[in-house]
Order: sequence, then C-alpha cells, then structure tokens
Amino acid sequence: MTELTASPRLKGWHRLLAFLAVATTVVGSIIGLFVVPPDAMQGNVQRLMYLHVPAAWLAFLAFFIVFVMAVLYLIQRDPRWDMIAAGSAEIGVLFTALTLILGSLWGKPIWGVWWTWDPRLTTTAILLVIYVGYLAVRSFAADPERRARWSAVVGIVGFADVPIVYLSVTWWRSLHQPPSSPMSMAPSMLWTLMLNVVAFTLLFGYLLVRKYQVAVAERALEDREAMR
Amino acid sequence: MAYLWAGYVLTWVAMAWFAWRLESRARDAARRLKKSPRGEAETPDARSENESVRA
Repeated sequence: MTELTASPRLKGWHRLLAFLAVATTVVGSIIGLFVVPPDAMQGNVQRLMYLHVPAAWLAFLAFFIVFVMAVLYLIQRDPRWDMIAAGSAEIGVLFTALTLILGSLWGKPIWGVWWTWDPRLTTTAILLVIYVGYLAVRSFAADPERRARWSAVVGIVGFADVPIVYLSVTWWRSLHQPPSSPMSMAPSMLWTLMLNVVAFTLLFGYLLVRKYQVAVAERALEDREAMR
Repeated sequence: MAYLWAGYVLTWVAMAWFAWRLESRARDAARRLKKSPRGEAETPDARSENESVRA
C-alpha cells in the first residue's frame, strides 16, 4: 500500500495520534459518565460539560490555526499553509456544530429551552456560519492560488469573531455562565475536564495531520493530471 | 439521562464518521497515487526539501 505522507517527518504520526486520541477519549468518557460524581445542582446532565467545553476549545484552536496559516500564506504564498488552514477549518466546523448541539442538549433540561438568542449562543452560531462560508468560498474558486488567497482573507477576518464569542459572557448580560476557573470547580471534575480536553486535542492533532497528508496527495494528483 | 446519552453518542458518532470519511479519502488518494505513472508524487513538502538540497 502506498504510504500517504507529506513529509518523512510526519510518517507514522497520525497512527500514534489516532491511538492516543482513541485511548484518552475512551478513558475520558468512562470517567466522565461513570466515575466522577454528578453535579449537586444539575445532576447527571452536567456530565455533558466534559464534551461541550473541550469541543468549544477545539473550535477556538482550529480557527486560531486557520488565522495563523492564512497570515503565513499571504506573506509566503506557500500552498502548505493553505492546506493546513483548510483542514483546520473543516475540523473547526465539526467541533463548532458539536459545541452548539451539546449546549442545546444541556440547555433543554437546565434552561428549559433548546435555543435562546443569548449573546454567547448567537456569536457561536455566527462563528459556525463564517467558517461554513470559508469552506463555501474554497469550493467556489477553481484556481488553487485564487482559492487560497480568498479563503485566507475570510480566515483572517472571520477570526475576529473568536474573541467576541469568548468575551460575550462578560461584555453582555448573558444566560450562559461565565468561564469557570480551576478554583471554582471540584478537583475530580476539573481533572475529568482536563483529560477530555487532552483527548479532544489529540484527536484534533490526528485529524489535522491526516487532512494535511490527504490534501498533499490530492494536490500532487491534480498537478500530475494538469501536466498530462 | 436521555439528553446525556444523546450528547455522548452523537459526539462519538460524529468523530468516528469524520475520521472514517478522512481515512476513505486517504485510501482513495493512496490508490490513485500508486496507479499513477510517475510513482511517488513530488509533494509541496518534498518539493521544498528537494529545492533546498539542490540549492
């Protein structure tokens, strides 16, 4: 079987990351579901926070990477930065959607509604629309150079929403709770949350490395077909 | 409890589906690269490494 590697340096990394991501996700889910005690006020549904918070963290991380790669692309015009940005945006869209859905599943029993036009929820929904737009821009432009340039601009401008999402709970009166600090959480809940953050970050690493490898291979095939 | 399980199952399914889709694309690209007459592709990474060696 032909090995899909963009660089010898990346060879084998996706397998190691995949193994670590699966192992930590399984352990994190078991602890989150069965080991750590339920919240005194919210009961078992609070366990959704062990997924909701890591998913939101990954969404921020993914779009930060899109932003950095977009800036690097516009400076250096190296297609590798564009490939990483595109991969990160796709993963970011997945985790932003998961953040909203998990928040909604928690909101129904705790707030009594699936959705409310709260500043945090609204700005997060806007974030999702921005990065779906980013992917749409990529699908509209056929020329790789133009596609990379246009999407880099969207990736840079769109990132402005990330700090707005984060600060929305302090800027405006919000139903959503403000960010928790390690001091305000029980140690067992904090460690469970941290374990799931690590698990999700490892999964992100695996998906991003793999997406980059696939993008490089598909680009090489495109180049070959263009030369025929 | 239904909300809790719905959230966990949905997350696992979404992650697995995304990774499966990605691995399918990787397998397809690997198969096409293997079939391709030029053998190993000169990837952008390899290209920049080769250029730096040549320089």
